[in-house]
Amino acid sequence: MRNPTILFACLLWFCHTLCLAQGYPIQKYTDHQGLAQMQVYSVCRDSRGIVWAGTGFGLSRFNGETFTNYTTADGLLGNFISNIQEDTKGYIWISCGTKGLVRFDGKTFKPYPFPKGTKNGANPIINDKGEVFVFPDGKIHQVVGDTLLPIILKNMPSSIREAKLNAVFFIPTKSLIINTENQFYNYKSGVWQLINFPENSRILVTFKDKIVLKFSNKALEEVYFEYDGVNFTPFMKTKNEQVEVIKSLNHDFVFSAGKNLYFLKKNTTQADFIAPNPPVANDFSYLNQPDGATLWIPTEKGLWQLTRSGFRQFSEDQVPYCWGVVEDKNKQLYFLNYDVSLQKFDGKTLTTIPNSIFKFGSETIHKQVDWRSNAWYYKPLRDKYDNLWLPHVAGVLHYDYRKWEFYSPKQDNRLAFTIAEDTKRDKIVACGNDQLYTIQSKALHSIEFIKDTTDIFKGLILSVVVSPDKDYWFSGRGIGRYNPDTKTFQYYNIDPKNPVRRVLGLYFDWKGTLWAMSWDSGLYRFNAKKDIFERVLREYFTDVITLMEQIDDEHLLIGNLRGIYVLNLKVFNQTGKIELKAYNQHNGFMGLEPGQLGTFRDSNGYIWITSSSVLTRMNPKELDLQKRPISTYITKIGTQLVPFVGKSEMVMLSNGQNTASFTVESIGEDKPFRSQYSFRIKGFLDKWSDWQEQNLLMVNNLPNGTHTIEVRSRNGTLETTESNIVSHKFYVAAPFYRSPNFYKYASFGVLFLLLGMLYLWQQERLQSKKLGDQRQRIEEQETKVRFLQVQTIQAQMNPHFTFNVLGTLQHLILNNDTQKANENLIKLSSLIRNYLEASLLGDEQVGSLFKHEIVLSREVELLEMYIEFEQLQYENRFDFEIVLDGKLNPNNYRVPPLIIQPFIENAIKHGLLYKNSEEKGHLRVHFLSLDEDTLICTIEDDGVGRAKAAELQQASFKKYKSRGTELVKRRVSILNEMGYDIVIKTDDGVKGGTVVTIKIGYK
Amino acid sequence: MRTIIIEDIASELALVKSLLKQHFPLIEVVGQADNVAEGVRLISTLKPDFLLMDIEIMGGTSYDVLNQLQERHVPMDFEIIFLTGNRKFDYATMAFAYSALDFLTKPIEPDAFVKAIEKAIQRNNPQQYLNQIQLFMDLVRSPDNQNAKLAVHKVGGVIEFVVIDQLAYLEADREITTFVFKDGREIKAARNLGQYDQLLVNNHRFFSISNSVLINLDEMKSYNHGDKMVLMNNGKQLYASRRGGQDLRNFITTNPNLNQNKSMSLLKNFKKLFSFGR
Repeated sequence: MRNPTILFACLLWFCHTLCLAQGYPIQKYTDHQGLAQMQVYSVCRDSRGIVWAGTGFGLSRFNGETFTNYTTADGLLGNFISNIQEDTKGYIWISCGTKGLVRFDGKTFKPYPFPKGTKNGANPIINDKGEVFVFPDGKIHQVVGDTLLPIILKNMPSSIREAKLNAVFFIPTKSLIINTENQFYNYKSGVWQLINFPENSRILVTFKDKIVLKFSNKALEEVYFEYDGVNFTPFMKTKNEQVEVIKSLNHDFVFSAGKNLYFLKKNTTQADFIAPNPPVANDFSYLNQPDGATLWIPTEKGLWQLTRSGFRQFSEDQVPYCWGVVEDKNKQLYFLNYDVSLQKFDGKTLTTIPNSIFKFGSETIHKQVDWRSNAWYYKPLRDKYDNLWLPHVAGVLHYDYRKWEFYSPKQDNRLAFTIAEDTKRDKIVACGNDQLYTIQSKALHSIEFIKDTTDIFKGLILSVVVSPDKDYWFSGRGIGRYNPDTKTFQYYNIDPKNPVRRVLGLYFDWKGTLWAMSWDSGLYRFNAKKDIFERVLREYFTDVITLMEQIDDEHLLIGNLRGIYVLNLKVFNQTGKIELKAYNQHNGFMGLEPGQLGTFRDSNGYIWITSSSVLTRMNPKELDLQKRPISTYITKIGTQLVPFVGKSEMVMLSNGQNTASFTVESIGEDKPFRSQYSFRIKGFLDKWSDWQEQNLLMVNNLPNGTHTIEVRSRNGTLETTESNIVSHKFYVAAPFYRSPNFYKYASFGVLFLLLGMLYLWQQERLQSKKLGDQRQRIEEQETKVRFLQVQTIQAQMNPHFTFNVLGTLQHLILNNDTQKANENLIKLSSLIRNYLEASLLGDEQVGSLFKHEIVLSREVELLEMYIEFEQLQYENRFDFEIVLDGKLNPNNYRVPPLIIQPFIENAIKHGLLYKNSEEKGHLRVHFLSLDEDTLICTIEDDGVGRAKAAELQQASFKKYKSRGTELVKRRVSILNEMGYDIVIKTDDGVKGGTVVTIKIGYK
Repeated sequence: MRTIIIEDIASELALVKSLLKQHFPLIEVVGQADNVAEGVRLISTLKPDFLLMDIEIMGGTSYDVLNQLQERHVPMDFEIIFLTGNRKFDYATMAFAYSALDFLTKPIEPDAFVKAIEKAIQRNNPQQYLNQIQLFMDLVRSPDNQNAKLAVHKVGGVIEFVVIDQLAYLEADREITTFVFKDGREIKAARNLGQYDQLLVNNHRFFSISNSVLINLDEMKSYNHGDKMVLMNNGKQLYASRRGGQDLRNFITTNPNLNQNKSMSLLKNFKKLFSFGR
């Protein structure tokens, strides 16, 4: 006490060792992780959570997972980045040393170069209005629009005009602190006031309401002080590695003293050692980081992330491979390092307990296990008598503060994997290979085995716990329960469908609820009423749970391979609502793969958490339980950067693409171990996509037009840490052949077209074939009709008839009846002409089917002529009349020619001429139209009748056969096929003779 | 009345002469020729009132005679009686029908001969007759005249020259035939429909849809076989007879591009094709 300096030094030394023992977790990022360069001169963690690091060779942007680096090639004015700040709008201002200032919005670097030859850059000042001031070579400029405008300070004392200026904007009083080479002025509204700072004072950093400066006093001490515009207050002195804190600060402060780096936490007077000898950059503006679990520090050995609160840790150098932690009654902690050592920690120093003091039972056993003397296992404990029990491959090591002693079954199978205490029966229960065993904790330390024949006893039993009612619960291949009083077993399956499931551990919380940590399906809770295990937090934990520990009355710690989680147990038990916060490297918990059953709650309430790397001590009181939502950002659409400031502009996909890629990231301290992303595009993919870990989202076959993509992210499977939803508009103008489903539709279209064409072609072919057939048929029929017509004519104009007529004419001429001969000659010529015409009609290709028809009046004329000739030959044998029905206009009516004539011939030849020559026959031809389309012609004779005619014909050797009627009948049948409806009916006349009715109609 | 006879068959010439002598003693035969050149020469020099002319003569036809006369600008102020052994089969004779000129067929029927001469003597509208001759000549010169005309004997004896393409349809009412034009104008002819139909059907795009109606196919808009209704372009609805309707349908199926071009039918097929889905 005589020498306070020594005391101070001692204090410092203690402090040092303490700090050395439980370090602040620090994550170091170097070139290996993607940093632009090791020498980091400036750091800014912006409001979004993005960490910007200015190095000697470019700017690094860190989103918590990956670095993106920028250099002059990207638009910086220089690669030495001396200062980085964010303005009120969110722009990042990057000072490129003496080269100038650059503003970045995430997409473009907007340069504000300093005049050439500028020797002193100095940090810019950004006030709360967002105004930016720079001081190239001490001359104040303001950023206005695209330029740097010089600002004239009124009433500047002539003495400082030529002096070098440095300046700091001072917000509360809106005054400028003007720093010349050796003097400080307070400038406000044209008033200059000299400030009497100690000599050689240097401004370190500006905070919101003050500046921090330091100077060296005569005792070669570095004195740190604050200035709030009125008063200046020293708060710390350092000399080499010695640190004296005079007054606590209201913000965290990191500084180097001597060769060490120290951390002065806000509101404390304890400056903690962080690391040895990392020169920290002169720019202290990084201290203006927003509150949070971590602080980013620029050092010459990379970018460091310091966990400010909640966690301390032993490095692997200090505690190599701890699997279990236990505390004795003297608050000494024991760290069981698997295969390395047993360490004791008294709160200040770590010491190794030499394993030579252990006695592994008999000499033989000792020899057997000596080579594995540090094969410690899980869950060491302190019993109710305050003695320690440590699980080991060779049994359980007992420590009663006098000696270390092994208790183990006297056989090969001694492994104690996990142990638990049965306070009711004074027993330690151990689980191991194929068995449980108990050791009396007092006196005799006798050992009993607990064994059954079930599956669970056919492998390693992984965990044993004692229930509040003092049953033994154990797990491994399933879960078993043993009642030591009744010596009965009971077994549980966490999944009845798959009975053999590994259960890594069991845990009774403070209310006596049993939890089961499965290997592959998350967390289960025992429902005592139903006597079953029920899966809980299904959406959050999908695979292995490694550890559980109740932190306090309200909080339960759960761990898996990716980190630790704190569940609000009270809320969960009461409402079923899940409030879960994750801790990982982003917010201070550095342990890699938190260890199996690797938790211990010490008498201070600290939770010790083992891991594959560091041993962590969590202070629940310091723990930041506030959930800080992560933010999702779209950084790139295709190759186009998306600015993070200002209105998001519509992005047009390049080059007519309809495939869009989006680079996304999630940012924030509660950032997941691995982020997962999901997106949707309204009107195209309306459902959120499945969560994916890849930060490149791809969308194919987008239709043309404007789309909005929405992206969200989350912390692994933790729904509650889901981010905000970020959206961005983009425009697709792809050529039609790139439109979605084009090929599908096109191929359908082509197929359809082909089918259509095929169909049409087929139709066309069928049609033309049909038409061709029809035409051919008609032509054939026409040919036949014409042929038969000609034949009919020939039949009429047969030599017999013709020569008979000529003979008659000759007779008339010879009898000098020239008048009559002439008349008949004209008639004959007319008849021949008409016959010829009837046979030659209609040469035209196209036209009516019925084109061979002739006008009824002409037909009647022909018939008359014909009959008259017959009369001429058979003089006075018959008379005739041709009657036209009154309504019938024979000039408009048309009939197929030469249908009627043969029947008249028949009537004359076979009716009238067979008649007795004295009796004059009568022939009556009557035309009647039923309607427009139907003509009825009756040929009536009073001849001998059909029967008599047939008889006479039989007798006649001439066997006259009317070829005419035969031909007509054939012709009629063909005409009927062509659309006529010609019906010929022969009846016996009422007064004898024959009546032929010819109906000419149309179908 | 001065008459020239152009005939290359002696017996026919004698017959004609004797018939004239017998029935028309006032008609004086001033010249006779048996070939084209002689005929032309005689006519241009003798300027007859009457010309009796066989169509087929030595050195050509009677049309050649008329043609040469026209070329020499000989005024055609004479009546012509054509004689022919043929009635129908060459195109030139069809010209008679178009121009409504009479002609006599051989062998000559005395009654018809007398009637024709009497009619010629009584003719009181020489200008109309000249027009008929002119039409006749035009038709003979260019048989496929697009703007073919038809001489129509209107009720009242006046002849009107009708452009055939302008006709929509012809409708018979007993002995009267009504000519209906595209523009709706009508004229009534004092002739049977049968007088015209063969000519129009065979040489033009006319179609007989019933015994009393003859339509211009180019003026037909559509045909509905169900109720046998023909819709004309001018909106007029005409009804076909059974025979006419069947005939028309056959005609349309065998001439599918009637009234509609190929693309129309393709379109129709497409419509058919796509209407399957509905």
